[in-house]
Amino acid sequence: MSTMTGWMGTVLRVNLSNGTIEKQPLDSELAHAYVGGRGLATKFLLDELDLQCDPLSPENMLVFINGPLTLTGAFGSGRYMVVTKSPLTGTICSSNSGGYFAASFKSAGYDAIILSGKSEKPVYLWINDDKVELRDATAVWGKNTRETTDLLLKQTRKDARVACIGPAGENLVRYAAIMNEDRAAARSGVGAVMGSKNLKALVVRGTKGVRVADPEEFLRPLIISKHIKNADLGIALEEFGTPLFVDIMNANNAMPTKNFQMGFFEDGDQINGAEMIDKTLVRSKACFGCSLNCGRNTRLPEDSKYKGRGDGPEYETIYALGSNILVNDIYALTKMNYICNELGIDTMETGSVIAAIMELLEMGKLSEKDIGYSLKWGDADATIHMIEDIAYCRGFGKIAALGGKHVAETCGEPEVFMGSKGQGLAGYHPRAMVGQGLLYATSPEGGNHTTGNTVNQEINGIPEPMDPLSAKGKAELVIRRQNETAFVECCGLCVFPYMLMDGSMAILADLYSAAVGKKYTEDDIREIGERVFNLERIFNHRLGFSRKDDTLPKRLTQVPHNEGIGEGNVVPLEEMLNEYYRLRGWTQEGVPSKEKLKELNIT
Amino acid sequence: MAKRIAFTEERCTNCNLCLMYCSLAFGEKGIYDFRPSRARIKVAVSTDDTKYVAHVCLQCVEPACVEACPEGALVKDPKTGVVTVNDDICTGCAKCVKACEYGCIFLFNKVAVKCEVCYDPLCVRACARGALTLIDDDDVDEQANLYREVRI
Repeated sequence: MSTMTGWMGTVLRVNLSNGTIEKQPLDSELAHAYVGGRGLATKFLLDELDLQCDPLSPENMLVFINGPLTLTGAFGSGRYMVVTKSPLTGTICSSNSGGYFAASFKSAGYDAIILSGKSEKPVYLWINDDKVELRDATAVWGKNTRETTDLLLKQTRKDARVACIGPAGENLVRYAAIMNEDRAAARSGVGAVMGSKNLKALVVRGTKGVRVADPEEFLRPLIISKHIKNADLGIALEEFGTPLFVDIMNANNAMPTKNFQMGFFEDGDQINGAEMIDKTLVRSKACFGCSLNCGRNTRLPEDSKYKGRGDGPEYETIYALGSNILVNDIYALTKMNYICNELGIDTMETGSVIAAIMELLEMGKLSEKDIGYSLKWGDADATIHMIEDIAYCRGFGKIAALGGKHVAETCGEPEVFMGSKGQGLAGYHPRAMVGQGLLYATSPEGGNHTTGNTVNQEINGIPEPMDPLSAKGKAELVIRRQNETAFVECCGLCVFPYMLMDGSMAILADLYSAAVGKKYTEDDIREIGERVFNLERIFNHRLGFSRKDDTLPKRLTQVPHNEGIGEGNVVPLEEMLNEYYRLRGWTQEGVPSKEKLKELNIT
Repeated sequence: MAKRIAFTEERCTNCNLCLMYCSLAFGEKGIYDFRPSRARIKVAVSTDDTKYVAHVCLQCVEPACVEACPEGALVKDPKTGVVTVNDDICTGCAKCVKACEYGCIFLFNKVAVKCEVCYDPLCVRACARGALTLIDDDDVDEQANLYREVRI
């Protein structure tokens, strides 16, 4: 048994080409330097992966990983990440998910599962504590994620947990997701990498425990959690879930609408949290180990045109498949979310791609003949048709499955795709909050909402008011948010609770220290976050990524915001980038300097 | 009257923090860890996903588990009403587990484990929404019905 605390001390390696399964001890020094999650996984990939490999070839590696605070009493401790070279962006990517899978994964005794090679036939990995085997998945290949989950639980044990791909992953859609219990490791095409390996699912059951060095310290969250819940945003999140952001973003003209042409959706009150409570919400639900309760358990009413039940939609889906394509029907939006989850496809990227297609159609750069049917702004049923076409790579869906950048470039209009590094942006309009624009441009995997966001500072004015339209102080803010978020994610935690707490990094440093048995200060953990962020940058730099790729579409940097707050504003990206690179200790080409790498102990 | 943990379904969010902290309270041999499989409380979800039900011992007036134990390892304290397991005597035969129609007794490492009502229970402290409370009564009907309906 490992003497480590926090970490389980074991890494599982599975070579799908020859079926070998190996358990290795986790190197303690490496664990302290890179923690877990994004950090440790990126280190594994940098050390072992042929970086030039085709992301969908057997050479690519797929890492499932939790962190030293997963399955502990730290807030939001039910998360795992999937890290790989992205088939959508060609960069390092880390996609993370909540729900209950992470807890089972870690209690089976593993910090990470490193998958390499490619199986000849469809398989799934069945992990029952120490017993690990690859099993035939022919019977579930082609099935959607819910059917797959139900069938695999019958074939294994009902108290196990499943993370699987749907048809989109099997068909190598570049933004296919990995699903667990209606939660998704959605972004950057991690599901396609899994599909390319003929790996349908991971099924995990665990009975082990996570030891912590100082258990008494873990009694503190029980007191602090009441404060988080009683924070204004905590109360609102519990009541409305993430759809709460519809109101916040709309009120600040930062709700991306009609492919980012606008920042205000006039039908926002038809797709917000209150509307969901009224029409679809069964009850709020939590992820494992979190008292925030922001999840949405929903159901479409019997008399609705659309049927079904499941989770969500979350805010990012509401923006992407709602305001951004002008869909204002919460029932249709809920149905689209269920369909995406069942097919195993990222709702955000799907929305980005479809928004680009709708605009290209409007411009006459695509015709109805190309698509095969009418696909106009706000047409929910045609959107559902397209989602299915993409997942099954049918007709125009075959092209759309390669990503929005590909679609827009094919039509000769690259600026119509609202993304960065080939990945669609998240639901925060940068013209109305320019720091968020800098964050998208410098994120390791392009437009993304999990490598940090600036909503609390730029929009909510916490801890103190900040001008969302000005470049002032934004480079510093973005660097701080990126580093903090990187550390939170390395720990195997959800970022939400830590957004809500004053002094959350101090509390996190204490909990981390109490778990792993070594004293870390707030500055120490910020430095670890910085180390991880630089490591990801190195990964991308070795593949040729630099300042030229830290971009935003011209719509954000050259076309002025159209109305209300931020009217006339554009994102002063170059000005912010200059300062950002300087403060990061990178060259003006966006490359980490030797001194910086030495300072951060990256070798 | 028995001391027991009462459960209010409407307030549960299926966060599992109750069982996480329950497991921490019962560390073995001085090693403290978060280990759901050791917990004396478990959460079940109804098949239609509309109910989250934390199963925790009702401390029955006439406990079927006590009746079922061939070793006399289970005892109901006449004063507090709490049913306890003597793990030196328990053989792990699981007859009590089968006898409990509420799904509130479990096997862990071949010994029966169940809620024995801690002083200042960590599960209650961990429940941020107050779905679990420490009370002193025998009016268990509603909770018992819920346990029959949504099983582990």
